[in-house]
Amino acid sequence: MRDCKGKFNFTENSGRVVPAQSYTDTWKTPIQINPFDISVTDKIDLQLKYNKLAKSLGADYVDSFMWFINEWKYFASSEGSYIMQDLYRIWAETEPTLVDKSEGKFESIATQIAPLSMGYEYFNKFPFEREIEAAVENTKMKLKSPSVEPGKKDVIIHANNLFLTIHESCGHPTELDRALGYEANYAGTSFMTTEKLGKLKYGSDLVNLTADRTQVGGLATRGYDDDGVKTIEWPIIDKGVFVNYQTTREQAKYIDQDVSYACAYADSWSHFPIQRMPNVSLKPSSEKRSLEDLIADTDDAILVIGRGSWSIDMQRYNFQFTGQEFWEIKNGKKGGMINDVAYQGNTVDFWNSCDALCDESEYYLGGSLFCGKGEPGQISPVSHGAVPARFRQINILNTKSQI
Amino acid sequence: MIFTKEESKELINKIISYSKADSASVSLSGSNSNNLRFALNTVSTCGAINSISADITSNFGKKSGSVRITSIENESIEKGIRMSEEIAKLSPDSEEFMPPLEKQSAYSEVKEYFDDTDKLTPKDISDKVSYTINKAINNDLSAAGYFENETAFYSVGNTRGLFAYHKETSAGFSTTVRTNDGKGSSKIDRSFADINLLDIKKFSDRVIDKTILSRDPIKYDPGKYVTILDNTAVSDMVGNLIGYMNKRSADEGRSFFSDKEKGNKIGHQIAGSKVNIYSDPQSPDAPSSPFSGDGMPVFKTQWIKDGVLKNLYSGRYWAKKTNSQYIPYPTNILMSGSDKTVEDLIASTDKGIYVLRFWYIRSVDPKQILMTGLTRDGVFLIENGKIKAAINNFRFNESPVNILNNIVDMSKSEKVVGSETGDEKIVVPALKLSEFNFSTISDAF
Repeated sequence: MRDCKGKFNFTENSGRVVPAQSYTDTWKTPIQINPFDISVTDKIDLQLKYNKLAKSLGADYVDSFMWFINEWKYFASSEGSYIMQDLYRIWAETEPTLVDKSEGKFESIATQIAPLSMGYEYFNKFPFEREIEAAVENTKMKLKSPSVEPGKKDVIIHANNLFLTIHESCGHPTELDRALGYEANYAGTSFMTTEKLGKLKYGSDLVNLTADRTQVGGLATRGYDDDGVKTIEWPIIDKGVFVNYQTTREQAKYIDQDVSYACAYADSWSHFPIQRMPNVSLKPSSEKRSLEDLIADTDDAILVIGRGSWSIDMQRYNFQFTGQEFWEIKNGKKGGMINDVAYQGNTVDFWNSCDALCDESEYYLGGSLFCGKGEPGQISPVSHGAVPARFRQINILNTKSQI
Repeated sequence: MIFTKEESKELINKIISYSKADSASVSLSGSNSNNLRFALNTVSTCGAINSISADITSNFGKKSGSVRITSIENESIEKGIRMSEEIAKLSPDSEEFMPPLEKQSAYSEVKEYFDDTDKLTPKDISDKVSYTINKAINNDLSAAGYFENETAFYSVGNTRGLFAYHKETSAGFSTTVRTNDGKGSSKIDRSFADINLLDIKKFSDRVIDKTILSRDPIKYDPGKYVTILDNTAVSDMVGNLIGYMNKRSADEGRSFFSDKEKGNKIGHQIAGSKVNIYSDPQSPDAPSSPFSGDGMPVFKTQWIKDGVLKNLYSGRYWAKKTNSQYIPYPTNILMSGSDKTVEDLIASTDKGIYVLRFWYIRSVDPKQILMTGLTRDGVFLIENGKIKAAINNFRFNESPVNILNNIVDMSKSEKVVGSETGDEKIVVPALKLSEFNFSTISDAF
């Protein structure tokens, strides 16, 4: 898709920003069907079909939405760059709610098909109807499921939950502007301060987290950042060691680097480009291991599925996450559903307790369209790839017995 | 871009005159704002944003379509109107369709526009903020912060002759001041319609005093303790609670406010008897729009009176279906306090925790409105009526409903800006609670 016309001029560092090549180029998200060519009626029909399906299976209420986003931007600089980018993003979710009026209880489970940089082919690529059926059936089970016993427990975290843990506990603390203090008044600072670069044992040897703004489907994927720098892939955590930050042309010089990792982004004409997160993803295991294999290898644990609620402190140490579904793992087998689970941890302890990862056959690219940062507030889209992973002796809370 | 009442009316009428639909409504909004951001004791960015937009909704029978335009040239208006009509025609009938609101007889008089705020220049802002930065430098501290002033208007009109207009100003200032060892921090965040209420010197002095007090924190175990929540922490809890007070979800059995027998909890004692929460656009502490987005007049509304739930808000469709009054989401949130200061609450406490702010508050369980989040920018141990030491931050798991049931004492109410409810106009007291659930330690400062 890259239509690089190849005009390269190397500009001297003015002292204020690190140098960058200049480009004359256009870049477009690789899509097959432009969602804006599809009629509103077709979109509404599809959404109502999903709602009807959920209700026919027993949902009392259904919340659902579809998002279609086209971001068009043009970058020109006095250094000679002229870059046009045409970016597409898409997301749909259906969330059935079941109410048990006799017990005064209600539960819901949302489908876990992530937002992606993709066209309308999204609806053919993913099994929406099967996800909706499973959401309704599992919500019925959730209404009747027993409450979790709190305490320290092993957990297998599915990629469709772990992607958000990656976002919060690795994506944010490795933003250089946070580490330096530029976000102190709002998003916060970071425990991953500059003297820890190259030294901090962030996770176990299995943990490799890569930043990438070129990955197909990734929400932070594009040809160039809003400093006009060509996007790339680079390691953030290498065999458990913290090796790199996310940077912009303005920031790289603060840690004596002479190239930018192309992370500048402004969400509209009215906002200043600031450092925003690339797609930060967990590398799958090179050893063959499916989720089924991982479960078979586990004696006593909880399997956490789906994005629930999330919260983390302003330096990114202490987090607490819920999910959509929680299943008991006993003696290598998936057992019944349990409820009211939250897992809580400290970033470095948590990633160091990771002792098994699945292989690439279980790879899932999750993401968010609405990561917030900056003042005035800006939103930014970002994806995180992950595989299911096992973590030893994690603090499990029973959310029902907190108060 | 700011329009007067007459200019707004003229433009809305012009937009409507293009309409070929059965009915249409238009809301017009515009703003001019300046912003300045600073960090590490120096200005990092500043900007100015002027914008205008019109939201057009066209209806055919029970079908509607909406379009937003950000240019008000004739060509854009016509394109916007035609597009909204096209979308409406393509849409299926909505069983919950409500025609535009009829012309309303009167709106409350609200003064939320102040010339002095409107006239603030970028130079005025940088002069004000320089006090904070210089004082931080002189105390060997590091200040980051944000200042924004804005003049905005919102008006709405429709084919049934309704017209409403509101103009407001705001001046917002926040600063986080940190110790250079990264172990101490404090923040203040305030916004007022009238710049003369925003005493930068007073607020900066207060936050710097608190930062100095936050130095050398000691480790303190999590647990349930007597706790004083400063106004800012309370604003996030009360603001979140209001967010759940939707009548429809309650009536449908999918809310904390649902009741098995009666449908919803209106009339139930849900909080301690000292709790009074209401809205009033004419409040001098937090003047706010006297009408909702569709032009419905907003008057003083009691949400919780002496601890009893009095009202839940609902949409027009649900109000009609359940034969109840249409009460839109409030434009401000006010909680009555006492005449005491926070210092009085501290002085009356033998042993307890004092929390200035919360951060990253999220719903954990909507059935009991269980929220999790963290303390941030100042937690202190109180012993024998005095602040004894700064302590570590905590993660909490608590419900705003619990908080309103555990009140021992309260201070006077103050308009503050919360971490997560900053867009709302909230006036609340600081609260002393018999207990508050801190569940784990956070190593962050």
